Amino acid sequence: MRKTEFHAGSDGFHDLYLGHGIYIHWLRNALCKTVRLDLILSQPLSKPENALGALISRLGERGTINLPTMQEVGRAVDQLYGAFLSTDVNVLGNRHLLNVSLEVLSPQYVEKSDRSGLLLKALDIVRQIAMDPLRENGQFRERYVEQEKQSLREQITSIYGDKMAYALGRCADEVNGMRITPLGSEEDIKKIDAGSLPSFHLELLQESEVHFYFSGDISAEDVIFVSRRVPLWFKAVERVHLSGKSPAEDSWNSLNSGRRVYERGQTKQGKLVYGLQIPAARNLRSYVLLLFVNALLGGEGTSFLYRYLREEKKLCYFIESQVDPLLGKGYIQASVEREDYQRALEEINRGIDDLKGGRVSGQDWKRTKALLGHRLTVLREDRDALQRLSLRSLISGYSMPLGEMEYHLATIQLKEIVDVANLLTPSIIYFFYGNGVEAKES
Amino acid sequence: MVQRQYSEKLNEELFTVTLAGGLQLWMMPKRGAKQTVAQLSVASGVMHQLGGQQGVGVAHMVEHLLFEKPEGDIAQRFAEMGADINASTGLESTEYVLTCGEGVERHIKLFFELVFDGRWTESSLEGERAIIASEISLYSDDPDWVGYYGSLSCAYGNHPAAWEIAGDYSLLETIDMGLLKSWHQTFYRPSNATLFVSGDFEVRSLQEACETALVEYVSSSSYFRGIDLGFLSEWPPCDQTQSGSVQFELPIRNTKLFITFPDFLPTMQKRDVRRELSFELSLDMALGLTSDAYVALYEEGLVAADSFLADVFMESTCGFLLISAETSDPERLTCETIRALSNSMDGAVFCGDFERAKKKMYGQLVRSFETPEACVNIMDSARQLGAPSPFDYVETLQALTEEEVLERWKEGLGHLCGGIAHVFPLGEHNGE
Repeated sequence: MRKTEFHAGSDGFHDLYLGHGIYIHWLRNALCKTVRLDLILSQPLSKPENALGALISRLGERGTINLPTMQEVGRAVDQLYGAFLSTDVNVLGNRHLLNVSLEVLSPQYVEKSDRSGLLLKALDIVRQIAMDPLRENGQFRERYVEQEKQSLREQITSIYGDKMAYALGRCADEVNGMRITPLGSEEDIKKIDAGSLPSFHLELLQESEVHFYFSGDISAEDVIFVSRRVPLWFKAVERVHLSGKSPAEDSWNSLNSGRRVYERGQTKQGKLVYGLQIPAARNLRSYVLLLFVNALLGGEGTSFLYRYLREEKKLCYFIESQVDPLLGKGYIQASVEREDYQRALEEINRGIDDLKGGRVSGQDWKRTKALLGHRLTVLREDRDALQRLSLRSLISGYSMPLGEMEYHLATIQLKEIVDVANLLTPSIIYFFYGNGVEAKES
Repeated sequence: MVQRQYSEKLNEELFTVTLAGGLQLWMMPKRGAKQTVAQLSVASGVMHQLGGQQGVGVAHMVEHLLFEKPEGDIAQRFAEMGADINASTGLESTEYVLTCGEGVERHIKLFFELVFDGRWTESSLEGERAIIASEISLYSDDPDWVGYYGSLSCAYGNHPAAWEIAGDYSLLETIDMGLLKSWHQTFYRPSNATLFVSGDFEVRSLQEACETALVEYVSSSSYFRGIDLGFLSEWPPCDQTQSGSVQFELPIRNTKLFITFPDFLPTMQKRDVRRELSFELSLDMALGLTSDAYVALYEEGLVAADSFLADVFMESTCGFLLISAETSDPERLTCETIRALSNSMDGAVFCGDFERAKKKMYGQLVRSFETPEACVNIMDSARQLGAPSPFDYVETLQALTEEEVLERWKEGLGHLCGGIAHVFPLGEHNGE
């Protein structure tokens, strides 16, 4: 019999390829009191299909063939000592990810009589939700489909209540035409016909890249033992997975350079989102460089923007920047009063100019490096972050060992930062402002 | 003298000691952890008062100002050592949270300087006023914030429990240097603070670092003079609990509902771990995501998926249930929620479901000891409720009986008086 072994991937997860586009990833952390199972079905981004995927993820929690109601699903999960179940969809790079996650106590913390079957029971719930959502005569239950379509629409519209998130989404729409969001759009959801779901679900199981993450207090032997079942699940659906890495999307060709968009709406405090473009990171060093640029600019409490806008000019309470190195996109977000918009913009430009000009003091350099070093250190026991890093590594096509990231961080020179900063280009500067409408008692 | 407690079930150790000046130190070492979290909780919050001045606005302002040392923002000095620092103000305390890698001992001196050294200037006061005004403005756009405080106001009336922690614009202007300095001197004393630490460290070495830092920053100052602290009396007595409702209109798309049910605490009883767990279990059986009542609400489309929250909030001076959801029919959801809670008071929903709820709660409690951050949080919760250790949560849970849980549930929430806030999209409330 062939010996099954994990290959060291990033310093965190160890990887095992089972063939047919099915991967197992394992991370042992004996400090954990839980074991987490994450089944991820990864597909290329596609606008209408994102909505279908989002709907499928909800329908699995609604009921399965063996647990046909949400109450039965919930109670089966509760019986695993209050395990924590979640299903969601995300966009990472140019992939759409459907994730079924179940976190269950490590067997050593449960009654002896429950220990032996605990992981297998947990695994089976994950399987049922992803692969066996309730169908009757081959069709999804119409009432469930309509209710979950409504829920998804409400989830999309509820973002308007969070003005900063709304502004960020609007800015992204202006940058990219219409953004491709994890849930799809209201229109996409409306168009979904219950009859099309079974074939979509089958295609999802046949064609997705499958990643199964096991993390926490679990040994390699246990992972190998339970994960032997995974290929069997997919055998019945006749996998036709198309292999091949998807390179990071290059958004460098955008025509929206520095365009300003003002939107008058119903908000008390204005929301300023400053879109940035930069070439996507093609290797790990440029990935770390972009993290560093972001930390210096607005990603940390030591950053230029935090200091200029909040500490020096007192223009706002909230200011931060974020950069996605795989997409080559960044956003600076600030919540400022309408009358302070221009000054805020000037301070943001001052921060960007200082970075481009290399005006980084020795203290700024030291503090930012120390903080980023701390973030990388604690990442080693943050399984959520390590899982995201593992997925990013698969999407980018280059490995991301933490030790190597720490090496790059330690050896990065100011000149490299300046070179990268000089490639930062404003895409859209978006300002959502209102009349200072406060909550009105009616 | 350091006291050691060990939980075999959790395989965790707790060390506690009272240091010079009365500072309580609670430590849960986690060998091999990459991150260490230290939280200094100072009993300075909205529920406190000094010379007739309530803590609202003041406690939060002090929290902001303590970062502003004459040499500059002290957070930058933490960053230089690769540590993160943050703070938040609540009802009964202000929490200062430090996260770092190995060697937490070397941050303790600066940590105590942050909290016990109140050398802010008039100009930093002016600056923080502007930043806090921006913070207040930021939250006034947030429908969850507006609805949450709306329902608290209806339940508690004009009591600090319902006041926004940062205060309002006019209050900000009235807070002066004298009040802030007195506040700091009164409440920011070692005897009024507890330090919780979890991560990879040596107990002895951490204790020594704390003792050394305390001597340097505290003993030579006025902090040992023993000024009486001005706590508010416990609240709410039952005769002040009220029912009421309020409607807001905000620029949102989906209507939101918030209901606060205050806990009625009979005389001679106190809020403790037993009470908190009893409420958690009861709420799960009455309105949890697998309860008949919740499933019916969901099936009827009365609650939007993932928007429904049913939580127990409990500190020693104040306890309440908070229910919130997005809904197309807030009136009906309000009625159905009250009906479900009312029905649960006869104990019928407990039958056959109690063991499931306990099992689920046990799993949640074990998870509360998984990371240094979680350990610090559960140590703080235990201390707030007067428990000698966080392990009490697990021990107490296992000893709870169905009858006892039901009795506490009925005595605390049986009145079902609550504050209700509806937050409607602009122009969609007909005013009825």
